[in-house]
Amino acid sequence: MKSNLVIENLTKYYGSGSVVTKALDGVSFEVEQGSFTAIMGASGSGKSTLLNCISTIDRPSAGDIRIEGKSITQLSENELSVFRRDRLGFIFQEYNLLDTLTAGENIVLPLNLRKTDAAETRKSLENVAGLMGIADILDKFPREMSGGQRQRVACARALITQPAVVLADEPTGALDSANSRQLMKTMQRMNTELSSTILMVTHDAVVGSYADRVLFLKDGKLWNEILKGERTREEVYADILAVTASLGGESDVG
Amino acid sequence: MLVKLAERNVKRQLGNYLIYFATVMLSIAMMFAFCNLIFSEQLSEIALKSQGISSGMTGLTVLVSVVTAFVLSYASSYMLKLRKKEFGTYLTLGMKRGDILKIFTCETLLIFAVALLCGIAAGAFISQGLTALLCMLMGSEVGIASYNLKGLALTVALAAGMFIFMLVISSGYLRKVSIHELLLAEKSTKKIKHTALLGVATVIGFAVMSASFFGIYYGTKVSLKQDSATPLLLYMFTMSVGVFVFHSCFSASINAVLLKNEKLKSRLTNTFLFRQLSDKVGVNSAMLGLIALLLVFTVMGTNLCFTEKVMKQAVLDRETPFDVTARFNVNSEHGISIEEGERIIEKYSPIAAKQSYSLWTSGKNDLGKGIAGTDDEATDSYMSLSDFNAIITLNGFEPVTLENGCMIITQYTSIASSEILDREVTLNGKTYQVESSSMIYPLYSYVFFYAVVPDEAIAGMEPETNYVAYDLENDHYDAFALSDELTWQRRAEDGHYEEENDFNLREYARLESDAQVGVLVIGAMYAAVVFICMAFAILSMKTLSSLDDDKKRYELLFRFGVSPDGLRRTLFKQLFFYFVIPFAVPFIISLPTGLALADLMKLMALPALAPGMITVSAVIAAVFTAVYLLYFFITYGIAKKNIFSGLYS
Repeated sequence: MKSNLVIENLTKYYGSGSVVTKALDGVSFEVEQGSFTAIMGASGSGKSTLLNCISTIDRPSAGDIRIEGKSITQLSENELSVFRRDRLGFIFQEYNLLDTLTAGENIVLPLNLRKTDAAETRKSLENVAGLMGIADILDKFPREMSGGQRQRVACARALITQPAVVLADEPTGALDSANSRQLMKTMQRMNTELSSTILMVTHDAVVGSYADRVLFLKDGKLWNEILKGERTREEVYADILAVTASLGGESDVG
Repeated sequence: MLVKLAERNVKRQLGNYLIYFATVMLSIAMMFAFCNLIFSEQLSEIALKSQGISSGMTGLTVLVSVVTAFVLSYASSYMLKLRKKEFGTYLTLGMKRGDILKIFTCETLLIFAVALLCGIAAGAFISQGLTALLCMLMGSEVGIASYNLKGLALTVALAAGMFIFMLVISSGYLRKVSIHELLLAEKSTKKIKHTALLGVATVIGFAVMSASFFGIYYGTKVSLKQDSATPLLLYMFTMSVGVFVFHSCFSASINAVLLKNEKLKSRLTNTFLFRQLSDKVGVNSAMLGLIALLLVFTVMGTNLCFTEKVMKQAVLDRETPFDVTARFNVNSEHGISIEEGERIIEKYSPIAAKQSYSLWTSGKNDLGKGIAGTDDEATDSYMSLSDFNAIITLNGFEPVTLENGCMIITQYTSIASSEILDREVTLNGKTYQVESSSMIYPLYSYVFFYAVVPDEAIAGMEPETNYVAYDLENDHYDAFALSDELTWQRRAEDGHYEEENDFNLREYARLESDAQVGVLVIGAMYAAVVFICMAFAILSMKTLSSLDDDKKRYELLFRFGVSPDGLRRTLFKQLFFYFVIPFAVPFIISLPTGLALADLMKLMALPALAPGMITVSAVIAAVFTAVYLLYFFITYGIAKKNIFSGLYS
């Protein structure tokens, strides 16, 4: 299958002079189109730095990132903005909905930014809201919604532009276990029914077990990998726990 | 320990404190400059002559202090909001509320102390400027202004009062607020309801405001004619209501209207922009209404005060056409004769030229009888054509000619355009038809009107008043001393003595008028600068206090692919619209105010001043805009730095 995302020898340093921290140390992997990949690791392993580099919020010190065959490391600030707008979708831990906008306005914001006409925007909103089961809360402001509803709105916003990759940063971080489960099922549906390519960073073993493939980072290097294949989620979960234990056991096991 | 913490906090958050510090400093600087002026030698001389001026100035300082204290207490709530999380953390760590209050008091005291010192230093400079301006306006010599302890003491006392007031408000908040509210409380954005009703109120507010502006213009004309301020006060009241209602309702409803337009809303970051504005403008609509009202009054008040300045000069030219005018009523006693008066005058300035003229009376009231605005008991007064031409040519007018008739000279519109124009009078057997009337000539005599007639018409008449007009070689001399020397005491019928002076001194009138106008203009400028700065400081602080929330929102936009340029444009528009709402109407009304004042000048027979009125309005609008832009760009600069710093890698 075609690779949507290619990471080659990615390196990222922080600081300068004698105080330099190597956050990423030659990380390389590929993410296939329509796959659901989780990145796990202990605190400080480089998960967030990796996601920030892929989401073009941070620039790598060395190496290359190609999304749909296009290298994004040499793009200018404005080209990166256009790239983020058109090809990436985001789901964040804190939902990151704009508190001043209604659910509907939050979802269509990426379409407004690419100047999609009003009729098409409305149609896309109806589709994605129906899919996420949030059609009846589109006029509500984030503070009027539950945590689960907010995260579904965030998913809808990530999907509405049909991005090349949906990047999820600890998406269940602010949710209780019931809402976490609900969200992961939603993301699984996004992956299986809409063929969305999802790259998710998490430190939660249960959440990680929903992915087809789990990559482990340790000290900025790719350290281990679990492929789901034909196995059940519970079996994958057990594998994750085993790897996590050998990593130092810092991941949650709930 | 607490003092150290406070000191570090101030240093660390210097950027956030900038607008706050600048506002406190500027207020103190203006206050010191003004207090210094109140107790200055220059003003105490004037105050001796007019108690009203001195108490007016003190009243103005107290008024400005009250407004400033309110703004500063608002500023302290801005500071508290900026530090909410930090204070919440202190409380969580077990610090007592009393200790936090101590930190806050130390910090505020530190800022106040520095602002007081800087303010007094800046005020010392402003004081020189103000005094120089006052001297210029009063036509006296510009010198170095002295500083006085009384002014300094009053400034420190007022600043201390403001500080205590601010502290009481802040401590009240800090004693009551919960940790949850400090750390976690989500900001609730009020939903704007009844937008249709608000829309209707906006239109009504606009109509009332516009109608009142016209009303004030026409009301002034009516007031001038009827000598009554009632219609004017009524229109001022309806204008205040209109300005407040329009701005409040417009602010509250405009975003809802914009958000209904799907096409406009879906363009780029417009939804975000409108919602941001709704968040800031909508919930602060009453405050914006009040700021707009304050600014409208500031602009109109300043215009009127400068108009007064320009007009006073013209009034002076009209009421005292000669350096000295001696007036001797033939039926009154005179303590100082013309010869004696001339001798006294020459001690102050040599007389360059003199011209005598007289007013005559027929003992009847053929012309003035029944004319509105005249006294029915008064007899008609006449001046010979040769006398009239002799004095008007001294004032630069062309000589007039008569075609066997007469010409009415008056200062009153009600007489100049009355049926007197259809009347005729028979003098020495010859009938003279009124040919015309004129209001353009200076006040050569103190009667309601007089008729200029051919010289032969006054033959046989009794002189009523004899005048001598003097042109002095020196324009400036000690007019107060000369006036004292020319004053004599007349014993009235009831046995009391009354002071009389038959010599009208132009320099004396000028000094008095300039002093009053100088104080008025300085007072107006002072109030205007403080009010404008306060209004924009509120807008700035309101903007900067929500920077943390804005930073998160703009960060998200950036993640969604809005370019740095796009982000900057959106922030610029957001701040610009927020600042422009209370600014636009006060700025725009400068134009009609200028035109209306120009029109008024024409109505008051001072057409030469009309262009000056428009210039005055334009200058005021320019100064107003400069202060606006200064605050706007400082706010935009700080907001941009805070929101976008660290956003782009």
